[in-house]
Amino acid sequence: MGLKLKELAEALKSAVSRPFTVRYPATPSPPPESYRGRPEFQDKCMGCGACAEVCPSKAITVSDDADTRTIEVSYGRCIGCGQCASSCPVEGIKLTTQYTVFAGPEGEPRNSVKRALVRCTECGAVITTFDHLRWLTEKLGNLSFSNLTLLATIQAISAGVKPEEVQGGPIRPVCPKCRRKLVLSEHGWRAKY
Amino acid sequence: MAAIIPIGPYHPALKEPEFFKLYTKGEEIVDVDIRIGYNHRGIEKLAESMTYEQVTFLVERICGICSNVHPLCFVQAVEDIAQIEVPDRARYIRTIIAELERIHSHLLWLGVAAHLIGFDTLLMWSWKWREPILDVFEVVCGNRQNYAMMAVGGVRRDIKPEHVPLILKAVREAKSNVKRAIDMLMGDRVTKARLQGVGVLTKEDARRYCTVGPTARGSGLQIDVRKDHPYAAYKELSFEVPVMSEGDVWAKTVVRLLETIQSAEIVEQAVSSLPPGDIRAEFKEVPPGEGIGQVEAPRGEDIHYVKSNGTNIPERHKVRAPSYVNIPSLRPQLIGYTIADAPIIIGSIDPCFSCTDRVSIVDEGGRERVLTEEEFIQLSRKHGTKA
Repeated sequence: MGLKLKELAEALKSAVSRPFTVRYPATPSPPPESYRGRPEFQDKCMGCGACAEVCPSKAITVSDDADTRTIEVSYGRCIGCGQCASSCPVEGIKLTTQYTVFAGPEGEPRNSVKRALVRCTECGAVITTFDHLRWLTEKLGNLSFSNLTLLATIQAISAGVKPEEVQGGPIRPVCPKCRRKLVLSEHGWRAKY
Repeated sequence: MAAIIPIGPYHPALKEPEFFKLYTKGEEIVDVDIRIGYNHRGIEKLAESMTYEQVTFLVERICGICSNVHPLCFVQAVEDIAQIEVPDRARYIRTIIAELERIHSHLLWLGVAAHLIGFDTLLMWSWKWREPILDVFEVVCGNRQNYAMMAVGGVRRDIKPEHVPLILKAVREAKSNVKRAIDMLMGDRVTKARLQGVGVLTKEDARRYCTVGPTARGSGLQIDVRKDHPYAAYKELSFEVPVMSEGDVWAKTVVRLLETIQSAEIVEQAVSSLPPGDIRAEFKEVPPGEGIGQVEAPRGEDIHYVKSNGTNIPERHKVRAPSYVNIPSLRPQLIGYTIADAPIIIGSIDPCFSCTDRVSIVDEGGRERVLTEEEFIQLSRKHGTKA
């Protein structure tokens, strides 16, 4: 009998109390600050591609065309783990607190960033983006004088031109493979000074 | 001649694809044929093409409910290979996350079980009680499920001082709610009639079928990885493992509910004695070798085996989810009971079919061959990789 009364009291309490659920989306349901929502590229992104390297679901892809690199995150594949943000050296990609992702008529929702690419002046292979080289020279300081590509980058920054257009004779952006060849043939034992 | 009632592979009563062939005489089940393998996703093979860091997130997707168990188990296996010493704080955080997960998993199961016997009020209530725990996960880990907290060498996010009152509040709430549920069930004659003496798994059968977790503990087997092979911070925390000897669905329910209260107490202890320090140990590389991780999942013992060849990609990764050993024990549990009891008996082991399926054989030739144990061992010795 006591239990029946308890149940009755519970039922009456439930009948008058407000519902536990919210009427989403009419009532917004904001997530906490620490929520791992969809990642978005920031202006700081330099296009190094570290995020694509660590992405477990291959949601972030890097594609290079003639002179630009496009890094794209596809929200359909993204699992929101946040490895991209934690491996980014410059906070170039950040997790937002947005959890709603809508697929429109243009297909899967995406977020992308484009950065200027630097190619090898010898063989045309992709070296990396200009912003990435700039970041490397800033990080390495004087040590970057030991590298042809970085030296060309410093000259390009001070001259305000693209690294490929640097008028420095032997100082020009080259890929690691060509650099080894060049250092030996132009500056090494075969040098014709 | 027994009539065959198929449940599955795709059945509205089962949330996941699995095939139970019930041989019935009238209402009574006389035999059961269980077929698994309808939800094979090739996770083990996929793990062999991803780096250790990435596999942690892949194995998180093995199970949708116990999504902390598999990454924890995997990182323990990798730490076993590389002999990584996990910082104290990381071990405690792992324990807190694992126990919070057990609370929400058991509350979810309680709701599902209540739904299976037509007690939908309890379903609504227990899933409501589960919400505060999920909110804590959202604040602490960044997501309600798939917490992405585990990493080789530690955890990825720290529990900040402002999180502690949130965790304690949610855990205390859960504890009082579960106590209320126990009161409610104890006094309810209808629930008792549906659960008591139904789906009895004797201690001998439980041992013979190698059952694990609450299924074994409901039948009087005192096994728990947290006590037998302590991992994370369980060695330093005091707790008891509830065991019931009846073996019926009621015993499994009570074991789970008492475990939930126990988990809440473990979380309280761990949160109040959270040691300071790093949350992640540095490590250089994973040397060649083999490692095993064991974790007491809400459903029982989970085992991950990882073989490394010195690269950053595992050479072999084997997963044995707890439901894999619990599902065969449904045969002795189902035989002798009625068709109406079948859903709750199947539900009583808290089956997780998607976690279970590791191998699926598609024989296009249409030939069907059943291998004996001896032939199977011969075959695996013949084609197995030589260590």
